[in-house]
Amino acid sequence: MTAPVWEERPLAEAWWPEDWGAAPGWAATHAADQLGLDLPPMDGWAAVGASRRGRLHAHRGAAREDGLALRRAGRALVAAVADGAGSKPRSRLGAALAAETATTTLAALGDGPVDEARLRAALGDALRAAEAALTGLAAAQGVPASDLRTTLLLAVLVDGWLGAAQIGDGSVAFEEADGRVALLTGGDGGEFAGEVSHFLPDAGAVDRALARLVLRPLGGARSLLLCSDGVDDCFYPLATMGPLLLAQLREGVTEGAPGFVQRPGGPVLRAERPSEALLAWLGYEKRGENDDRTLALCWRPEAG
Amino acid sequence: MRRLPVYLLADVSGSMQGTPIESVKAGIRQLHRDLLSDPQAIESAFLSVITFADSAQQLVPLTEVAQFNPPELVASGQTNFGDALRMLLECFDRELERTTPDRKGDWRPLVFILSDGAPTDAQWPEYAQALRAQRPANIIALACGDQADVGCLKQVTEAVVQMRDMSPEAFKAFFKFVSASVKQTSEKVGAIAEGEGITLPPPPPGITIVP
Repeated sequence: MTAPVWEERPLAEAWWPEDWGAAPGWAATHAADQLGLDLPPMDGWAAVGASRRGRLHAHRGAAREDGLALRRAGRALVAAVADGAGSKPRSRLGAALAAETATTTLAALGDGPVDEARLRAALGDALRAAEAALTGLAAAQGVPASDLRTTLLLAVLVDGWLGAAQIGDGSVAFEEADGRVALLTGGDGGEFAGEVSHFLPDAGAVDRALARLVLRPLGGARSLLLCSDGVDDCFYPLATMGPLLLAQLREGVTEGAPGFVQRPGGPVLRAERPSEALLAWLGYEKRGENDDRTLALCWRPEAG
Repeated sequence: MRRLPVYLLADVSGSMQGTPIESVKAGIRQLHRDLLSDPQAIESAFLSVITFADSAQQLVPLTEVAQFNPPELVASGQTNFGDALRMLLECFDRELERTTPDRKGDWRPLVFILSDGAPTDAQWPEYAQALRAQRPANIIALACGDQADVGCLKQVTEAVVQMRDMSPEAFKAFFKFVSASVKQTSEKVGAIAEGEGITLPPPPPGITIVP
């Protein structure tokens, strides 16, 4: 018997529901199977993000359900990665809207001086704005808010400070000056894969995230990494596998990591368009790992 | 690697002799063929077959789809449901991989229980209660025919469906439902709220959900 072949099928339904009226402006950015974003270096930091529809969704003709946003406003660099709940029919919209809204709100930090208190307040505002955006969209369309359920990873770099928040699974990780990788925020996972205890806009999800905010000086950090569980699960645990992942992005891939099938490729972070190179890198194969893959990286180019 | 463990818990007591047991065997073979044709199932689904009559037996340990061999089933004896549930719990302890700080675990297992009668042992309530309380899996029970003890199955799981007709066609339809459920679970397991049940496809005609 020949092995079944993964196929790539067009979407079975429109990304923005046809009976929901005209799509808002932010929809066009997020509706594609792939999304790549680049922020060139400024104030010593650059950023790249890429989000790629997984093989399983492609095979089923389903949309990418991850969201991604990168934004620079004044001195603030803001990143968000989101993952729509697989069991919910419109979660792709929740993921996109949450990422857009949270980063837009946080970008206001770029105006005026920043201290720990202002950073904490701004992260809270961003999470609540994302929550309100989801419940507002659901109410406007007459659907349960749970239809838009999503995780949300959020980070901001500004004035030597780092702030991070997390709802759901995936990881926000910090690369120290010596190359060690540490998870910043705690994920929401159960004893089995793919189970999340809190999604946005579930009741209490924002409060829980606010209780676990990370606020710290950037110090000598080399990079900050946000990844959806489609990437995190492949490189689990990220504290151990993170250095390998980052080395591949910095130095390129000559042979695949154990358990992976990877094409040789040049350094993503030195590519002419890092987002294109990152999208290609996200196309690695790993058995059983066919979810959407989204990764945002903020890094110091002078740190290598 | 994240696996989707799928356990089939099949009643092979004497009342299943003849057409019913042949239909269950055919159904397992069909399920296997269906999953072999799905690339996600090939990579993720692992199957196990546990039978129960006078006692329970794990005929096939958790095995990846490509290596799975549909077992031979023989119907004879009583309906020791308690031993079946005990064995299921033991298999969970032995075979499942839960997420730890160092290793990503399996998806929550799917279990399909098929029974056409009532338990003949006295231990089953204890194990049924353990399964309800611990919720270590998503369990769907099929009450086959008119003699199946639906109340007993409801002690194990809320998700009970009834198939009054025990014809080969009815069993075939049920196993197509099993196959669709496995594929759908593979597809939808991206981020499910803890405590939330999975979404299954609608049962086929002839199989009704027991409220």
